[in-house]
Amino acid sequence: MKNNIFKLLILSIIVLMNSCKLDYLPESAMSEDVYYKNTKEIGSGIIACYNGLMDVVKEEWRFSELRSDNAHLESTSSSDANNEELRRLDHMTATAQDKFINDFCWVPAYKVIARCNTLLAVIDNVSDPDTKAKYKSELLFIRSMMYFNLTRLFGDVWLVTEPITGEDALKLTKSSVDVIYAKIIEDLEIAASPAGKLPYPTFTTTSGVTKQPTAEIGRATIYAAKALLAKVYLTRKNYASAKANLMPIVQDYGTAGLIAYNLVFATSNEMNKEIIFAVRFKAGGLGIGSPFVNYFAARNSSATIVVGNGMGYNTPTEGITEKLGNVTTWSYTSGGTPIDPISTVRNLTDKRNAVSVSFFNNKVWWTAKYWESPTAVLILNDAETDWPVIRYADVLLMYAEVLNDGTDNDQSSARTYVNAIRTRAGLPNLDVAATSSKATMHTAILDERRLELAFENQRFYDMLREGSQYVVSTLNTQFANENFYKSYTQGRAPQPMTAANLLLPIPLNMTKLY
Amino acid sequence: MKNKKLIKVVTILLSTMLLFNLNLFAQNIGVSGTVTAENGDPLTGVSVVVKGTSNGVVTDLIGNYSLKNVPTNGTLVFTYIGFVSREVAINSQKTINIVLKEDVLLLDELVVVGYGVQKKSHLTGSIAKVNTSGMGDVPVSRLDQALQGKVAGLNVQNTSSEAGVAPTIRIRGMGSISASTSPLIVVDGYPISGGLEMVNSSDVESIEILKDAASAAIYGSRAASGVILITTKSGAADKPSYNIKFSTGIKQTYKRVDRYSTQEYTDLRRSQKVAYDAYMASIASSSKLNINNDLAAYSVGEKFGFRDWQSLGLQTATISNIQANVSDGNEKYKYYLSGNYDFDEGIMINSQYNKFNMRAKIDAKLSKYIEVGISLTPQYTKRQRPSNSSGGWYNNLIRTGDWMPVYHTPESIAFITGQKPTFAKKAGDYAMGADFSGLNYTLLDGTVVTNATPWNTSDNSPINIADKTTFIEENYSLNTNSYVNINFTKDLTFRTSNGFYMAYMGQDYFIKSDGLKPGDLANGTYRNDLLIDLLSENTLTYNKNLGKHSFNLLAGFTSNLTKHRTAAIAGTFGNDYVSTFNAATAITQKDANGNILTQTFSESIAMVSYLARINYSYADKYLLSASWRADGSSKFGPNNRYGYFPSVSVGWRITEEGFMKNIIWIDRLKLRGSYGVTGNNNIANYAAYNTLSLVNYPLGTGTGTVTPGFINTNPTLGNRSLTWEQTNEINAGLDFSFFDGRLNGTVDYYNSETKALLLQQDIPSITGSLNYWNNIGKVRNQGIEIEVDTYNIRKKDFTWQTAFNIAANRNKLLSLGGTQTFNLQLGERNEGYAAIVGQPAIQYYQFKVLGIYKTQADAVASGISGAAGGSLQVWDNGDKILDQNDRVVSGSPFPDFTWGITNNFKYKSFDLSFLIQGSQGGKIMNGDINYVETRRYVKKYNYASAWLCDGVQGDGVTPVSSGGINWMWTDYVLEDASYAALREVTFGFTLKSKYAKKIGMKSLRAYISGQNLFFLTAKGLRLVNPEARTKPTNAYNSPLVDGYSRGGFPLQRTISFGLNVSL
Repeated sequence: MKNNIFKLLILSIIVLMNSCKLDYLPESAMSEDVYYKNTKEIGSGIIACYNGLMDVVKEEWRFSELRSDNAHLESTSSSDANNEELRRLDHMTATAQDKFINDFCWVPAYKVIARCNTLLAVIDNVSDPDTKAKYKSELLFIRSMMYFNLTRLFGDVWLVTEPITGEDALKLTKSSVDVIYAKIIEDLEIAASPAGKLPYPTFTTTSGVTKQPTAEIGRATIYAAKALLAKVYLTRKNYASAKANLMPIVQDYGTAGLIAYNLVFATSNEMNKEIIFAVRFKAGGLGIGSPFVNYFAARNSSATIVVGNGMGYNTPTEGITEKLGNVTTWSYTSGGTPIDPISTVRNLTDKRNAVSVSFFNNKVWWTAKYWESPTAVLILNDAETDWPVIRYADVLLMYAEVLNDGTDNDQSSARTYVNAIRTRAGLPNLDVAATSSKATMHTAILDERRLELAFENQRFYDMLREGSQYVVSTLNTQFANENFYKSYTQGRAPQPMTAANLLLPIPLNMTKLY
Repeated sequence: MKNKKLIKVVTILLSTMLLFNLNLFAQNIGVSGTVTAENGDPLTGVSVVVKGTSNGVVTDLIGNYSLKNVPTNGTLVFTYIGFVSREVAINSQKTINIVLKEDVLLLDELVVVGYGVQKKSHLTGSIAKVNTSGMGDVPVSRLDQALQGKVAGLNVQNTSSEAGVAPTIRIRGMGSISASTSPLIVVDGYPISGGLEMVNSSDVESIEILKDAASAAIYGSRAASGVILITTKSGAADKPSYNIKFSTGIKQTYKRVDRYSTQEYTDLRRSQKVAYDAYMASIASSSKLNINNDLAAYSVGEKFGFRDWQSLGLQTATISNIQANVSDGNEKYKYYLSGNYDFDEGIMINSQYNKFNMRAKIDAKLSKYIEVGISLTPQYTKRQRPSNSSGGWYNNLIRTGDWMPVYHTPESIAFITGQKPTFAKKAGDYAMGADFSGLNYTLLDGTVVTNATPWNTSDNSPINIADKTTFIEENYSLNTNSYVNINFTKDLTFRTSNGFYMAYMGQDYFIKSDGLKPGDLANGTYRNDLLIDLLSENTLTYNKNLGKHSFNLLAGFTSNLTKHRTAAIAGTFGNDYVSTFNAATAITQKDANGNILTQTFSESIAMVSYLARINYSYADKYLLSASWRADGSSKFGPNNRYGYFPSVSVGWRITEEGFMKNIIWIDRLKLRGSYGVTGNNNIANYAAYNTLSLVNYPLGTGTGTVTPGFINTNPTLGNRSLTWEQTNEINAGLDFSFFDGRLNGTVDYYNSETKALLLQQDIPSITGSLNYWNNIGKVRNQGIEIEVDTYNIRKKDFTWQTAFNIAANRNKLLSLGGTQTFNLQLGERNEGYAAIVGQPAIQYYQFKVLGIYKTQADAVASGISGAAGGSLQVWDNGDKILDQNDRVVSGSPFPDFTWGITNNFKYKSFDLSFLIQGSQGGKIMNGDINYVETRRYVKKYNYASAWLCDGVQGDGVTPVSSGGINWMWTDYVLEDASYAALREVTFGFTLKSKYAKKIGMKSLRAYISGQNLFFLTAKGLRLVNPEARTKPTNAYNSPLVDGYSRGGFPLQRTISFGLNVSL
């Protein structure tokens, strides 16, 4: 009896000890350890990288358009903490503590970079060499776009090109602007080359090339890579290389590539020929809708402009509304201080005027470029509108700039391309005499870019390309002269800025970690 | 056939019972007698043994015993737990009646320790045995609430007055930062998460608190925050007994938020207007104080009546409890069965807690070698919660002016439609603030105000919200544990204990259409949660006495698997009548913030442990105990799964030394010292891994087709080298007993350092993530605990006993991985908290209020942006910019010391006991101020003395409620959380057993008991409950944030009547 018990006991303990294991991987979530093992799985990771771009462009206007001479904060009086931060961005006095810079710019960009790095580290698990090259090109394209934005906004930043741990990150130091650009160019040259295996857009007229399957529309094409690379080169004033990358697109599409201006942004016409690359959004309560309609609609417009009210963000400045062809009358206090706009006279000759801006309630201008009819938006911040990153019009104007500013020094050809843009807008051709010199032509292109690409987050970078002195004088003139800025009270009015204010401060979280 | 079998069974049962009885009463040769206590009550179950033999019996129900074959020159030994043993020489007597004295020293009292029991006199660690007598009389529905103030170093805080909500329990301060700091709760050797809720007060045999690391180390990784051991009653051999306990009582709010009536408020506003307008006229300003909206509100009240919204939303609640148990047994089988029903209403309407549970314990001795047993504890609880946002709802109640009608009447409808013909409500509908907006009002005194808005809110009234909300949580749980003991020899025992704990929770939340706001769709959430915990514990013990050496050895192996499954579904409904999801019109997958509402989720966690312990004593004088445990957990990365937790403790029983024998006033003196290591793995599961989430992107023609993608979107990066958090603690203690047990006590000093803290550490965002779990930093808790018990009076008819305890803990952050100051602005108002190395781990970090700007000119002259007349003036370092550099440490939520004092009086059949308990020092951040003081009608704290304009400055220190710096960022909202409370009072009457017997009972006791009868708080406290802590948003999940209180329910005072009957 006693012996039997003893045997049973020993047996059961042995069974027990063997049945205990400690390897329990997550059950309700895939662990990174088990995924990204084949082409399909890595492919799904790349979709997630595109998804990451949404968070970046949703809020990009805060750091680019708002800080340019195209947009300002809607209200001078609000002391709401969010508006205070937006005001600091508008006035070029943002601080390192400001949450928007961290939460809406820095973190989303580095999240996308980390996603790309995770996948680049396992890209060899893609078996087919062409698919592998294509996937790699897409990842390099997306990552380069992030670094291009970061270095233009912050200057020196941390260059991370592989997955890193928290400890690794603490040891890393910032890289110079030159090093960042060298890496961007190196990566984009791979993506934009034939060996990068990116497909041609479905609209290409070039024969004998691989076209993008219609199911993949929205992913990077070779033209997207070339156009982005051209913009990088243009920013670095390397006109020859910029031209080399722009020329194939211009030759392929010609000036006929332009469609009616109002149709470029229509949700019924998404991914039209003019969209070289866009970050796409989709309405319908899927969590991937765009917020721009609600963001930019006039504040307190309730459902008259869009369901769920407008935030009044990215309000057009008097400068841009005037350039587009509007004359606005303001009311003044007895002492002559401006109070509010009260009426406007609109000249809609420039077809871009009606598309780009609108005047609500005889009171306030708002950005209408991404507007859909109130009935089209059913849920707050869940509209269909895509965000254009590079348009063909941008390519044409860049090409004009390259021809004018580069060794070609060819104002006549440059004028042809600018005129194509103006014709589409319903405007007469450029006056030849007034644009016969390199400098005057350059200014004409810059002005055209401001109107054509207004509220597309291009203006601030265009201003930066003109040099810091240009930005400082343009913004200070605006601060001093525009009624809106003059209507500030209680010490909130903008102070003259200097070149030191051009870069955004690196978020405090990066410099004060424990 | 069936009948025959039944008859057979009954016959066997009956004859067994007969035999059993014959056994007791039929033997009347030899010695017999009665054993009684000092007060004359017979003692049942006293062991009577002929010394040096195995010839013995136990006394029966009326204290009688009889023994045969007793040698006339022998000695009888009478032993009974809790009484001093006696030896009586027989000397040929045939009848020996004796009286046993109660053992006040309880020298041989057994104390439950991890995986075993030990004599109290031989303990070397810091283990507190809770005095459980009278615990069942306290009118609370949870056992943990009854532990408040009973043990030094055990801090029980009722952070919510909601019915059935678990209090926060801390042993010896806050050891960990990010990981959980709740103690491990072990019921009958079985660690369970539902721990204290599953135990009924009358089932409790004993409660032990393992405070120092050396005592807790045998529980290894889960013991870093201490261990609470609960032992439940078992059947006792030859002691059939039935106990019934019943109590019922009422609960009321102790104190409500003090507020203006609309009448008082309107009068105040009128007088303010007079002063304001007069001043403005004096400086030739045309500005006038606009009080039209206030007058309009008053007018609504004049027309349609006034009512107190706090009275509408609060109720006098009842609390009832009935418990019954029966136990019996013989040498071979013992059983204990109990049932319990609790009904506990909350003081908020729609708030209720019901608990029903049973406990069955069966022990059987199968042979000389084998003992088996099983215990089963099924439980059902149902909790109805007052509303979704438990904090916000009470705030809404106190914010609503007494002019606001609950329902529309024909008169109010006529009044509104007279001016707003399109108004769609009808008499009987709920009224809301917005209904009265933009109307013209004529007051009874003839004042006319036009286009006035008494209360501009789009929210429904709190009563409307409460009536439309159903929030029910049901829990079904079952704890099962079985054991087999194999006694190989007298000294060597193997025990295997296997069991499972299963808990299923179902939660229904439903709010009818137009619930929170007009136009809201009916919506609901259903959640369920299934927890299955399997545990196997196997130990081998060996006891040996070799002369003066005595050993006790333990070795064991345990394995634990926890499976957790949850499901949730959220959606909107087309009607208000069916709240199950077959009737839902749409399912909500995510809320506006992207939080997943509809999902199922599962996880598994495993742990494997090996343990060993040796207890050694030499001549009962020198004591040594050493233990070791190794724990492996699936929570950590493959490289760092195992943690090792050793401990050693020593004791010296000074009174056993020869030189002490002559000092008669010292009964007992023992010095203890211990060192131990415990761990903590109580963090989010799978922190070692990166997990992937589904994210989509539209691709293709038209508006695109949703294309799925997978990536790690978690802001928390996986850390493969994550490992155990470790606490090293030194404990030194002294146990004493003087003057024949009149003065007893314990003093403990401890110093515990927790290192490799499991901290959710921020990392540079260039990793793509924001933080990761890492082992970093170091916290120290140092403290002194004193417990003193005195028998002030010990007479036959009257005793007076006092128990006092006090504990002081000092928390200090020793390291935070490099950074010296970690500054947090978190919470619903971005309030300030700081963790600073060298200081307590949690502190408030706020702007220091200097006063108010007495005039607008002062405010402008300050040069500080946003400063306004009447707003708070705070300290600034001189740069005129209020930023991080101007914040200062303004206090910590940790109390300086906590204390409790219990007095027990017994006079003949009457007894009286009361517990006063308190907490001293420690600050609390009053989140109500932002919601209460800035709202009309509830400004009674200081509104009458608030600044109004340059010419009407009030008392010169009370700010206006708008403009200037946010109050929540300043120490204006910091309060002293100290309090002293008359926690419990019980007055009882116990019928003498001789009378009880006459009415067929073994004992009968009736009592009246009260809880929270009197509460003394710090002067000027603006909160209604200094113990309340709320975490209204996720931001408060940060481990470095504590002490925020908003919308805390008022304290409740309970008075109940109870009856205990034993048969």
